[in-house]
Amino acid sequence: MMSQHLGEFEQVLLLAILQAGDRAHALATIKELDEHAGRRVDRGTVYKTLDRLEAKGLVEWTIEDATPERGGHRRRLFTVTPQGIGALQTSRRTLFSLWEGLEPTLGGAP
Amino acid sequence: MSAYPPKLAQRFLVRLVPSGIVGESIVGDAHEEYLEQIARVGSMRARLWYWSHVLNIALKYRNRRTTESAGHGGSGTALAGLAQDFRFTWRSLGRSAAFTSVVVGTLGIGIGATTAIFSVVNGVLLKPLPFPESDRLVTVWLQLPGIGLGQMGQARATYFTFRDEQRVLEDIGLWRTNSVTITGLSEPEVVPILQVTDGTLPLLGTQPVLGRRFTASDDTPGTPLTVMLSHGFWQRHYGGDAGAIGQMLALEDTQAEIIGVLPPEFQLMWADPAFVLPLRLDRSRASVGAFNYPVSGWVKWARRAPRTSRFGTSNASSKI
Repeated sequence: MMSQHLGEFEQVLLLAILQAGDRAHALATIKELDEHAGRRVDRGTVYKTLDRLEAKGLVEWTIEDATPERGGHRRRLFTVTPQGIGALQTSRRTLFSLWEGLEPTLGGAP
Repeated sequence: MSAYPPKLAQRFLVRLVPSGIVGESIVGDAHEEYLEQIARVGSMRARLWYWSHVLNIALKYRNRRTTESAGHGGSGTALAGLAQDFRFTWRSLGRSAAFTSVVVGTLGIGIGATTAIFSVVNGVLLKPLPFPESDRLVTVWLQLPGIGLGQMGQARATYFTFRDEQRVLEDIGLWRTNSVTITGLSEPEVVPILQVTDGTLPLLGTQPVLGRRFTASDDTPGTPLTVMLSHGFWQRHYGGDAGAIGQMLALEDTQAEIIGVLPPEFQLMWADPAFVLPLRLDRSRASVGAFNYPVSGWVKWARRAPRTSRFGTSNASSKI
């Protein structure tokens, strides 16, 4: 199966979900993005992108029971699917391939 | 300090997000973050944050819905596109008051001018005359190309000639507007009237709501004068009383017997008379020499016989 091409934000959101581990709900991924990438993103963009990743089959979710601090509303916990992992690997290979030989121009790895 | 988000904002959010667990989880996330905001910045600013959060979600999911409906095609596509166009136009106009004024003014002038032109065209060309089978009604003008005169009115002589000799018209009528002074009321009153030959109202298809129409006898000089009241005049001066029929109406130096009441919608071209009198043309005074005054203002109406064209009518009239 061909792996799908990822947009830049799709890529970082998938990585944030993986960084959040087994507590990867939407707010946790937003915090991961803030901590690791220094990106403060609006919630609407995150939800919309999660919808798109789900439609592509790159993420899936399970339901966590409602709690009082959530006003009695349930929560979705996201996991990256094998297709999502494949898409991330393809993106990384593409980036590495494009970076190769450009160190004199772009400098070394940080 | 309220542990619950603003109710209106939350209700708005619930309506915006997708139904089911997806929407529920978004609302729950907002609630959770709202509590964190209260602990961090206080209730008031937390409420403001919640509202801005809802607006952000609204913007994203409104756009998403528009995109989805556009992808499905059909009427949803057209309506979504139209709604988007309206919103864009509305926002654009709101940014510039001067430009908006020019646009609104231009539209107003354009719509007004179009409406005025249509009213004239509709009244003159498109709208049929308010008579049954009005497409068979024709106006009969005279032309005298030999002496350079065109579109003349009728004379007594031409009226009697057409009525006696023509075979292509069902009937022919002559009418003119005039005014008369009513003297039998509390105060004398000058009113507009219509004078018609006895064939005019039948060829127009006008039926009285009360009484009868003029007959050839009414239209004969020397016989007792009769009058048909307009509906408005009958209502104003006789209170709509059916007993008006048979009463006498004093007109200047004579009296006219009321024989009928016209329907309320009756109007002949521009004439909106108080009542109608018979024209009572005197055949013995008809002469070709009386072509112009006083008969130049008379207009002749006629009704074509069925299966007769305007062209055929014109040819037949020319032969006469």
